[in-house]
Amino acid sequence: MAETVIGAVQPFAEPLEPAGTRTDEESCDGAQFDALFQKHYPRTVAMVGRLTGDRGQAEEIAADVFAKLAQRRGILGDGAGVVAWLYRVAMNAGLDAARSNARRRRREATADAEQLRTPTAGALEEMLREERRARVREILGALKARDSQLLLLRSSGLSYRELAQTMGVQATSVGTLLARAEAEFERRYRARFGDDL
Amino acid sequence: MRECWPEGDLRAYLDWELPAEDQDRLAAHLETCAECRDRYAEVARRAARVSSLIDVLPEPVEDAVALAGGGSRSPARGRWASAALALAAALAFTVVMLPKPGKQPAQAVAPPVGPRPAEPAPAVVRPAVIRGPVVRRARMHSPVSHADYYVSLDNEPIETARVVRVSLEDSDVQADLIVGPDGLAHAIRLVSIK
Repeated sequence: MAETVIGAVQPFAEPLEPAGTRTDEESCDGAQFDALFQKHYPRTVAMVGRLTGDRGQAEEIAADVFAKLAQRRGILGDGAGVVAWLYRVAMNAGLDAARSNARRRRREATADAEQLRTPTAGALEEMLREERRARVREILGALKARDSQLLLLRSSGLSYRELAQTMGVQATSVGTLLARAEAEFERRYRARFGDDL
Repeated sequence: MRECWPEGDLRAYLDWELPAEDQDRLAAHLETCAECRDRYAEVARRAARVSSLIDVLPEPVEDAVALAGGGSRSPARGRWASAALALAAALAFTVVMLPKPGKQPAQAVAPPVGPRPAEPAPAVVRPAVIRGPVVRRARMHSPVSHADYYVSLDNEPIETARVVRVSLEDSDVQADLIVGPDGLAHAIRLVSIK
């Protein structure tokens, strides 16, 4: 029976290249790991934190990702491949956490509604803001992980060169990817919530 | 003369991310091409709409330690700092409570029955006030009537504290400890009499 490979399913846990198939020539030594951590830990925390709305959770996720990297830094290279791997794994974990948080928040919504029987202006405004955040997070969760990553990191002020590094692509491709991600975000948002943009 | 520009370039042009030469060329092209102008306007409007939505997600707030340090916080470093502080506190407590060589360990005992100087509890203790020449007095085994001087054991200011009297077993050497809300002794005075 003939078989044709038509694609691949990528599990959540990003597979690492087995030993001997390094993506880069050199391994990631201690100093390089430190430099990676200093530069990218705050960014991954910010990216995941905006997605989950929980800084502590974002720090845990980012720390886990760096811990994985520390364990396997001999396997991975130290170039753009590592950075892209970092953000990809962090983003996937962040999306998972955001979905889990959304489920929990829905359960808590009933309790919030109870509190609003005697609403104050501040409480109402905060509830509306939270509703808007929840919508944005829902759409980001529905996009491809790399589209969400791109939108979040761009919103945090990363340059195209930096964005390209976090995605493992050429800087000249970022404009195209960004335009597509924005179009897709808007399309899904309109489809889900109407024209309320 | 270049033809119409792809949307990705229009998006990069919006962010000033094209090479300078291309940035100028695209600007010149937009002046002459109504179609690209319309496409560019739509790209820019969409970018603004999406950006305004993404921006509702707040950046996670740095904690006070990180802000004070002016840099990103390393959780490992934070944990180490906490551990170091805890260890230092434990060590300080141990040093204070360790018996001196050749002496019996101190034990907290009930205050001796009978008249003695009034000791307000909780007492307000300000180590800065009770430091200095008091050291000599305390070492002189001064009688109770002169024992209202404390020797500060650290530089930590405390608001309230308990006064705990301790004594060495089988001796008449007693001391009062100022124990802060953290459970550590912050000051000591000898109250032994003959």
